Amino acid sequence: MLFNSIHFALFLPVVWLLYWFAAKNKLQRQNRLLLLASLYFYASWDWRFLLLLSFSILLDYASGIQIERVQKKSSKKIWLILSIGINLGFLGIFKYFNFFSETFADACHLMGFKTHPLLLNVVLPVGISFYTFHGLSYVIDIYYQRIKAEKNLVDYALFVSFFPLLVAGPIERATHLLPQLKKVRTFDYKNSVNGLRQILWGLFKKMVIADQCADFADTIFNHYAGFSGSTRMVGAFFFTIQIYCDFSGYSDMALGIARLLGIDLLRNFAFPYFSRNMAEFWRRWHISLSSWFRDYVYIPLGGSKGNTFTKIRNVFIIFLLSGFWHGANFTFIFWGLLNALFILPSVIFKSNRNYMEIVAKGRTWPTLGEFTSMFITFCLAIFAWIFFRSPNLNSAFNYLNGIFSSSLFSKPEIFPKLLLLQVGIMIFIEWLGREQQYGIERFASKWPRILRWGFYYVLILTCIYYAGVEKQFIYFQF
Amino acid sequence: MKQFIKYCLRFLLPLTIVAVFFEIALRKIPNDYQYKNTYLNQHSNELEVLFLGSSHIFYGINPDYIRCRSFNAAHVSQTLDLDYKILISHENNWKSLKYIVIPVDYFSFYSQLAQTAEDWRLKNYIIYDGIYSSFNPNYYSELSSNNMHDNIERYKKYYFHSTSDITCNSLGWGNNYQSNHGKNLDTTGKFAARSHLAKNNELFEENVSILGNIIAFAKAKNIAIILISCPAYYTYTQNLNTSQYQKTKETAIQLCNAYSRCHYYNFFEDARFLNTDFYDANHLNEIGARKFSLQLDSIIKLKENQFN
Repeated sequence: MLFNSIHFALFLPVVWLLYWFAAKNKLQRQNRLLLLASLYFYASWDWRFLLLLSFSILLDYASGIQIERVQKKSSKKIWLILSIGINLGFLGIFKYFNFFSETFADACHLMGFKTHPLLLNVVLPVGISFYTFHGLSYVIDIYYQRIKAEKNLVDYALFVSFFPLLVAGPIERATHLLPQLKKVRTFDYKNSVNGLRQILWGLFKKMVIADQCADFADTIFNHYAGFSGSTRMVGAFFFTIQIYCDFSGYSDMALGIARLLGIDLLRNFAFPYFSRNMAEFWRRWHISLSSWFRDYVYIPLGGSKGNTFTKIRNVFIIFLLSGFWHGANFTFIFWGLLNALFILPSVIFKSNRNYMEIVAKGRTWPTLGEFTSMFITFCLAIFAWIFFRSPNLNSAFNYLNGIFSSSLFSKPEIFPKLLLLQVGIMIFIEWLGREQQYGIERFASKWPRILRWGFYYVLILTCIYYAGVEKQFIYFQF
Repeated sequence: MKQFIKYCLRFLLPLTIVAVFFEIALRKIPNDYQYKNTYLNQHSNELEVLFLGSSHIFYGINPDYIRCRSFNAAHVSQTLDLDYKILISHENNWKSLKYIVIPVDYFSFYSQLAQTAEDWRLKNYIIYDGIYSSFNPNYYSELSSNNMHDNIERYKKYYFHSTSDITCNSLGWGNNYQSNHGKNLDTTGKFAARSHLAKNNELFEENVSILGNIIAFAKAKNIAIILISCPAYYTYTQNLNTSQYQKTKETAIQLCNAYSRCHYYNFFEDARFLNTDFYDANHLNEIGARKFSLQLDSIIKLKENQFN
């Protein structure tokens, strides 16, 4: 059940009505209802996935209690290792087994041994990377006594499986979400309106921008050999916009839906393409994953403390893991390495903590210097996304080879003007709203209602106009 | 909260009114499904030959050339499960039916419409035929199952230019694959062969069982079954997976063994069909349809003589 489907458009109002009427002011009822809705939501993909999700929930729930209950530090550690091992083991089997098996067979082949890779014919359960990371952060936080173990299974299960974040994040922290699930949620008019607005903006980015960009990006990437450098550049640009609008659109919808239910989720995107360097970009892109790696890997490794070698090592580890988290393919690993290289100068020269505030704060337009920095950062992001999008490294290098040729200056064979105009409008609205949580949080808020509603109708009708075959969100595959 | 709901309803009201109006208007546009369903409701008790199946039959058999009273109830991408549902939905009306013609093509045992990229067509079986049900709410409305751009085009064509969506003649033959608009047989052959290759065998058993049910249904009513593999151009046939093709053919022959009045005819690589007979590599044009229909008519007449 995709957020941009009719099925979900029927599901959400039913859940919302039951939640605020049948379960009004009753904590247990609210949580049970949300859990049931979440399980139904997840089962709508494939009910068999529920078994794995339930196992993961029960494992981390029991491990959390055991880690807290046992006295000896060594016993706590055993429970922690057991939980992390099983969680990562499942992730490894479903997501990485075939990759390792094929890589091993290729390596043997290179050394002159003939082996046939053992391949598993399994479907990757939707959202497994996301809920595994929920569970991992929970048991690690208990081990380090940052939180108490949750005794109520329903509340814990809801923390892991809350439907707005279950399949593509944001990756929540128990310290942030669990306390909200322990309190009765009360209806808040402004928050609900804000939620609806955020859902609408997310839908617009997904259905109008991302899905159209996907058509052009797919055509160009899938048949790049026949296209000029300029067209390949157009393809890379469209994929850059597609992945942002697809994933940030999903996150906007997830946050908006949670707001409708009185729950605040972690922010996942903060206008990353307005960043002035790659360090800022990574503070604004997929924030919940970046901060997860920062808190549970980078800082325990020493972070940016220590000598230059340690800093470089830590940056590479974190980006390699981040790349590998996205999928079992060398393209993702290379993409991670590339980003590590891009971010390295700012770590070495200690400029990675520059630009903590959004660009041109309190001003309408950026300075020429800011604009240039944003443009360079955007170009670096485009360059890296080519590796992310390509099916293998060979294709990615061939794709790039065509870009860095004289045909870069020819007229592109594909140049959809209307879509470029729509992308331009979207970027302009996001620019105006960059100091808010999402693009249209305050946009048109001071307009008379008739104009404001007119603007919303335009967004809705545009979404409906471009609604065709429901396209999966890119991050569902991770 | 009341205020929130009130504003939501007020906001949604104009959208809902427009959507309902548009949905009704779209449903009023005459189309093949509506036409064929109405025809079968009115004439199924008079029919002697019924043609079921996918686009190969829809464009390939013109009942005008069949001497018995016949009707082409095939549709583009119609798979065996839907053929069976059409047959069952008029179960008590086939009073004169003597022959059911069903295609057994390269992909017949490996696909069902709900599992293909053409699944949006299921709305036609739900809205106009009332023979299908699904948990997917998209299939219950014209608006949600088609892209809006296409819907607006259909609306404009019918209400502003008086052109309906009907693409078949009065006896159900799809008549818009004309020889003067034929496609490149090379490229269409390779493309169609690739897209018809079975992704897996998951549906094989189920589809065989459905065809078995159709044969059992016919046997119970003493109706003869004619299974056919439709003609295709060599750019299609030579790019197919041999084992998938062989398995399809052998299964059809095996199924015929269960019923003495079930016969299988293979026109798949029939040399009588030339490049001028094809619209694309796996669909006949009006010239090929005439040729194919006449051959089927001869088979039916021959069977008639044998049975009599």
